[in-house]
Amino acid sequence: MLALPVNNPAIPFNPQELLELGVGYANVGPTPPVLLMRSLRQMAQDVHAASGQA
Amino acid sequence: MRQNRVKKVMREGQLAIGTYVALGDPQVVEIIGLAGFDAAFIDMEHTTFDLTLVEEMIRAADLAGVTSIVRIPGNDSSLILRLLDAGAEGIIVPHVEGLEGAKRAVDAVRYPPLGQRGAAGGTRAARFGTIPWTEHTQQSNNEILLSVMVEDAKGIDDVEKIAALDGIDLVAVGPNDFSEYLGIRDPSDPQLRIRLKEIADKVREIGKAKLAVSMNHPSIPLNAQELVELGVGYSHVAPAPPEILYRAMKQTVGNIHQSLGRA
Repeated sequence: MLALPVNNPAIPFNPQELLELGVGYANVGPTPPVLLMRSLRQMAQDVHAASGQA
Repeated sequence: MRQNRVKKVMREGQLAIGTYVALGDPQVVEIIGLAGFDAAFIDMEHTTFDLTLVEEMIRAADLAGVTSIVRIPGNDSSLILRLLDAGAEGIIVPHVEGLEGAKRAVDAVRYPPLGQRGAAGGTRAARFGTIPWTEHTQQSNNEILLSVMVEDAKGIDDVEKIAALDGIDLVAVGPNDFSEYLGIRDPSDPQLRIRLKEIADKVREIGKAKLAVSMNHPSIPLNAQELVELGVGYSHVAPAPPEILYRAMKQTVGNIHQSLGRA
């Protein structure tokens, strides 16, 4: 079976497109460090906004 | 030693924020710094983190420009000394045993005349002997953050005396243990906030140490504005990385399964 990643920036196929290509396995991004980075950055921004800090 | 970011933010009258490292990887500390927090909360009380890993996390905090705050498993002066010598910029003592426990924590964290911290000039904290000893001791006493947690009878009964003690920067309330101590497991029970406000008022009235309370904690869910109104100077912001990752990954998997028509 073909293996390709889902939503990879270099080859941005969604799950349905991968299925149509005959893909049998896909790694799903973003990676845990990137997920964590995005969530924590948003949390910090929200707290700073809510407490009146720039 | 460098200026302590959390203490600087609090001196400026702002709310300093940190968040849980929780996962055993110094990269999480770097991510916390890049994300805009003031501190990385390295917990040795409720994890299996060992000293070598914690030292790497402290180094990562230095790199990322955030304050490394280590919660130790108990009021152990020898462990405090090893962490401070490794360069930790903050110590949290859980379940402080009243005024006597707080005094022991000050003794362990502060050099004379404030305390009795053991002296070693060649440590990482003392830049391996490259800083004049007097400068190191003065900077350490000024910049290291000491937080003691009042979360059971001894600590809560002595909270005013603890808040008045020289060398204490934060009087912290641990939401889980505090609510267990009160016997209140319903986060919406108004008594929780009433009792917390009593402690906050006492600490504020003394006017020395600041209060520390967690943000968005399931046991006592308080937001940033509510914490500021209580006079909180420092807060760990929840959720912790494991919960963030779990939620994000579950959402991603759910979205993919839905798009593919999988149950």
